[in-house]
Amino acid sequence: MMARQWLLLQREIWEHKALYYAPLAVAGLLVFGFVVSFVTALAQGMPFDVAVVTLELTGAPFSVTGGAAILGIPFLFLNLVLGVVVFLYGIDALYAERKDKSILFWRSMPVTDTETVISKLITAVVAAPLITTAIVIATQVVLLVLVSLVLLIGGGSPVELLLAPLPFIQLWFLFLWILLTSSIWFAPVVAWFLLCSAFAKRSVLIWVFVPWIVLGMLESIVMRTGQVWQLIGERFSFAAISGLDFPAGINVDDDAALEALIKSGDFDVLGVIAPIKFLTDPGLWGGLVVTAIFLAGAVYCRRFRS
Amino acid sequence: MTALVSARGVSKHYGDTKAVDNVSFDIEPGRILGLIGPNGAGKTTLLKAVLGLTDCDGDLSVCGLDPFRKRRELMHAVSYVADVAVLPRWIVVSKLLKFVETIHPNFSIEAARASLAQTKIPLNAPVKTLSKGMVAQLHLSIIMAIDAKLLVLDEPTLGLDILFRKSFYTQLLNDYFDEQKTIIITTHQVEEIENILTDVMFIDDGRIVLDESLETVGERYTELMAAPEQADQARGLTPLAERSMFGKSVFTFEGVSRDQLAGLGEVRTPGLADLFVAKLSRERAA
Repeated sequence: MMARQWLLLQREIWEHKALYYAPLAVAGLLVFGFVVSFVTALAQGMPFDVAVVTLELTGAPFSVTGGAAILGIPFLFLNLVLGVVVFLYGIDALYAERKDKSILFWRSMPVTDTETVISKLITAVVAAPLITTAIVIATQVVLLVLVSLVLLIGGGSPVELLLAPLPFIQLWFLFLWILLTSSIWFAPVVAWFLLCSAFAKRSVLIWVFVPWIVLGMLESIVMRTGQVWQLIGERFSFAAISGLDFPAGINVDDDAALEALIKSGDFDVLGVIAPIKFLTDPGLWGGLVVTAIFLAGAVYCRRFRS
Repeated sequence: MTALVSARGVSKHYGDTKAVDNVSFDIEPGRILGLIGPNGAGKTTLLKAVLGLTDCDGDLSVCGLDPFRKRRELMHAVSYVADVAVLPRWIVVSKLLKFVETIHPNFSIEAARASLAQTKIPLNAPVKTLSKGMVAQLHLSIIMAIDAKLLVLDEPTLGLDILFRKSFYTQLLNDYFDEQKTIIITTHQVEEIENILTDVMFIDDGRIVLDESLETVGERYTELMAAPEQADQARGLTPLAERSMFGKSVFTFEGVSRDQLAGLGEVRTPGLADLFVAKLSRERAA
């Protein structure tokens, strides 16, 4: 049973190579950009220690946000890539097989439509985030090594300046948690993509967007309310923080305050992970119910409309 | 012996169109059935129902299963080529074999490899780099490496050259077929499969026009080639159809004894293509 689901997952990744190619390419660009900008700074005659300062890594006082950028930038960029990749995957997953008729072959295999559709959801909400997390961490390690080298050449101690002040093991756990909770939070959105890709005869994109635009417009005209769009807006804006709980009095948008807090050593990174808040959020369970409905629709379409 | 496929009053409607109209038949194990009909006759719809790819009205049982509700279980015992060259274009041949091996309990990867070794298909090639004929070869190699009770071939050789078609049917008969297996084939190239069939079914407008073993076809139907002076006498015996060839008249008779016809000209068993045309023109006239 597990071997089957594992194979179906592999099948998705064989087909959709962008699930790892795209984040790898962007990660490569980030590393390349770092090297180029540093070398350029030197080539333009900037003294080495000043060039190092422009990376916000040395100098007194050491900037934690600068160091955190090494971790934060790959996380941020690759998550944006993940969003795009999952979107493109979702709208293609049940559409391409009908378009190229390979569905006739897949359905000649002893695999139920439900198994297939579930494997596609798992690919989007579990496999893709895990692949991205692995690439994020690898990129961060490469950047940490590069920056450490720079610091060493500049006569500074990487341990003292970079590795010790940054709680990066905890941050990696935090990243993984954010990624997985956001993925589950976004599951209804992915399921909607899958439903559209199973349903649409031609343009999947139209089906992805138009029904919600029309529904929202009808609502605002008929009922003079904006519930539909508000619901969608909330789904997207709560994604990253739905599994986090910041201590009272912390403004996550205030970099300086955050930096001071981290440097004070009083801030427990893993303390913001809030499984109970996440699991008791009605938005999570409501979303999962919607996910199940959309998936059932996708299975129905694949069974009856091919 | 219990039938492998059993249909009772099976119908399938698309809106107001009846694609399959109240058909009943049985297919016994160990037979090779040719399903023959014009375009739009309902062949593909009927096969889709048999394969559990579409739901239908009436009672349909394949290998003792309801095909639509138990498609996954059914696919352990049934394999099919619904259309040639529908393999996913992005996949690499070796991964495709691995996929089928893991997912299909009755698939022999050794058999598939052995069959592919006789072709020019490299195992590390993506399907999209293969020619149309190679894709068909690959698909058929996979399907024939599945030990299935029922094999359904819907136009398996469409668009392929004659050498390939010949060798495919030879292989099908010699290497694949045995008394435990049943094969259903549809094709427009009736002449090519005529000599391997044990049974034939004609379908037109969603209805079965003829469902016989080839033996009884030989007993029941006769073709007479008569000189012009004997033609009127032959017409008196109410032939199914008449056509002319080389200045002679060719008649197809149903249920008229060969002895009765022997004096009127050359007597033989009609080819399936001619019989099909004769049966259909009679049905449509009625």
